[in-house]
Amino acid sequence: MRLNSGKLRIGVGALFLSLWVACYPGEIDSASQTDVVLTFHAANADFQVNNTFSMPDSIVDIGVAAGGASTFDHQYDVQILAKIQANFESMGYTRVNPATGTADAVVLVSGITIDNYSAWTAYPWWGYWGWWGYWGPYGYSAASSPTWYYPWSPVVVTSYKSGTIFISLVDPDVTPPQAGQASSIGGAALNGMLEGTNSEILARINSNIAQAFVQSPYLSTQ
Amino acid sequence: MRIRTLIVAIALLALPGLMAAQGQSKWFGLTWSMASPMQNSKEFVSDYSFRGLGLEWRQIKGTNSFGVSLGWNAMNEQGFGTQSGDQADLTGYQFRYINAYSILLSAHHYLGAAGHARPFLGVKTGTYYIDRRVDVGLWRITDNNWHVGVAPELGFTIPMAGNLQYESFYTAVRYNYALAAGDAPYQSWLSVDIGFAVRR
Repeated sequence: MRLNSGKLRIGVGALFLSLWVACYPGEIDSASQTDVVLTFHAANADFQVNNTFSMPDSIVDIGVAAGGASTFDHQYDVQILAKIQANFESMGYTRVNPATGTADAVVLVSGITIDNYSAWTAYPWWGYWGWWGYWGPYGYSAASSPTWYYPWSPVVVTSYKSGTIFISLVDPDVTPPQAGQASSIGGAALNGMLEGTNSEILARINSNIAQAFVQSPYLSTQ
Repeated sequence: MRIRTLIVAIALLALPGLMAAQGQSKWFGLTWSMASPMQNSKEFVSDYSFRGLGLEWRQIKGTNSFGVSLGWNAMNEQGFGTQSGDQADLTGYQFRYINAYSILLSAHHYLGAAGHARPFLGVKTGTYYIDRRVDVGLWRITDNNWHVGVAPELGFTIPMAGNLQYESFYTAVRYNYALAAGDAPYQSWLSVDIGFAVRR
């Protein structure tokens, strides 16, 4: 068969067309690829002065107070908190029962599943955490109108169909700029799409908690 | 988007034939354009790119030509890692893209004899529209700017034989340099084009 100009040109045109259409770069193709671990810390914080911590045994759904419906799934609170505790312990901390002793620092864990949430801003926090009955030794009460002090704020966490878990390390001995504020000297936000089975989501959360500590070596008490 | 793609596709298929009927001393070329990012562009995306197309028209007079070329190079890179700032660290998958579209005027000089493989050298200058994008998790950071740029190139063309005397294959290596624009620093990449041309 003899090739003529017309066939050749159409063949070449089709080849280029297929090259153009078929070869656009790949993009995110799994929920785990949307996972992001953000960690923050106060620039001049001395983490080595804290050797003990207390931690409320619930994850607070801050979505309601932020104006959304309560959709945070609490069925894995125990596993998530245990993972966080284990990682703090691996950094040299000891968890203290607040009923029997006063810890150097307090670890607060919250979660949210709504969009467009401005994290790390000076929200009042007593409404979220006032139920924990061990703030007295640190000087916090409803009457003191406590708000957050985040040295790195404001950082906006904006998401779509996603979930975020926040971990905050509060050091009551760090003097905040304003009376009544709670000084957070370290924080983490674990963000990703809420897709997949519950066990897959839990596995990703566990992996992201571990990553948060890997990338925060300054937390070590040593 | 699909309609626009279809229109461009039909144009791509029809143009060689149309241009071939335009008379002597005209050249129409289609190229597959690969790109190797350099300097600032390489810091943004480092992978060699096989994604790109070029479309050009040249008016040939003697051993010289002038013309217009349109181009697209898509460079990308994906990876997993941690980026650190003063008080913050971020870990996640990053998907980085540079889409560079060019509209350039060109001038070329041809060596050798007509009817044989001919090297050519040339320069193109005009504007680049460069879209840079980073996807991290559910966040996207983009900037896009019109850049003024210049692109010297070297290449050679090989005419086909037999009854295909108006067609030729050609290849070119081009250094694209787009001046800084907006918040984007200068961008540069080396293109390797392999193409097919119709000349009358």
